[in-house]
Amino acid sequence: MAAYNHHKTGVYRFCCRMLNDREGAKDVVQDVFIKFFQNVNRFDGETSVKVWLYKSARNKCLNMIRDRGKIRNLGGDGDELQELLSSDPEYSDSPQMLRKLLDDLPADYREVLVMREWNGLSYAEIAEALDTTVSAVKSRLFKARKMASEIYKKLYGDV
Amino acid sequence: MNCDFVQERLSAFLDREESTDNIEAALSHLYGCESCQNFFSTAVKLHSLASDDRMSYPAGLDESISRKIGRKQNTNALGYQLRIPVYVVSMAAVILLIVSFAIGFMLQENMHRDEINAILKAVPSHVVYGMPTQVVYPVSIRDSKGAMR
Repeated sequence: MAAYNHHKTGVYRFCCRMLNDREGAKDVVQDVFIKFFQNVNRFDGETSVKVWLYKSARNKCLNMIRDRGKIRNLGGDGDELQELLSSDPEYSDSPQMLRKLLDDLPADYREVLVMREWNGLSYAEIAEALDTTVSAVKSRLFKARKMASEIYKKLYGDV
Repeated sequence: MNCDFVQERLSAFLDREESTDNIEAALSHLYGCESCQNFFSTAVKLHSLASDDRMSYPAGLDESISRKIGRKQNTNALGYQLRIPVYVVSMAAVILLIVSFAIGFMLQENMHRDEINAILKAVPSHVVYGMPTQVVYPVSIRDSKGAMR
């Protein structure tokens, strides 16, 4: 229960910024913590719990993004989905620029950026959550920031 | 010095994951490079916007999760969680079962002994051994010479 109270807001924030959709984020957070409570005896430390939660949330968010991509590819439902997301209070309350930036970033760049900037995970924790190395995280974060910088420049001009 | 190399170090520096020894050369490059300055200022701006972008946890989600996991959290009024390992609960259940069987067996034994003693006292009887079961003949079925009929 302590782990739930400690990490729930962070995991929710991560899902919100990954999906840019409050309802979707709530569904993912719910699934993640139900699975967490079912496997609660497996965890041996705080880091293990934190990494597991973000790893699980990330996988579920990617599945949801993939499913939405399939919906868009199938036909006209993509526009309806965009309208639905734009009418979401959480989505429309967040700064327009951040939403646009995150929307335009590929999911593999968005996940490292959100984990680092929104959730403050260390490079080692991100590496563990993404099953990769610290140097790969460092490189991917740099590329994500570079792309974010280019998107920003294209949309809003120089800082 | 390559801009990508410098920007990667600046990115890590912003996250406090780059040692200061490595950053000096990158910073001196930064002063003279517009492209790296643009990258760094956007990264700093994004960092600041992300830090300010806070959101509250949805009110009903706690209850929803609690309902879905199908069990009430075992907490007292102070919110302290009482954790009992599964093996302790299992051992307690087994001990309880054994004790209840033992008590039942002892009561049953005492009850039968008391019943038999009461019958033997009340009814003069003859017990025949050597048969699969113990048979009790009441005195009323003996003949006048005392032999069994």
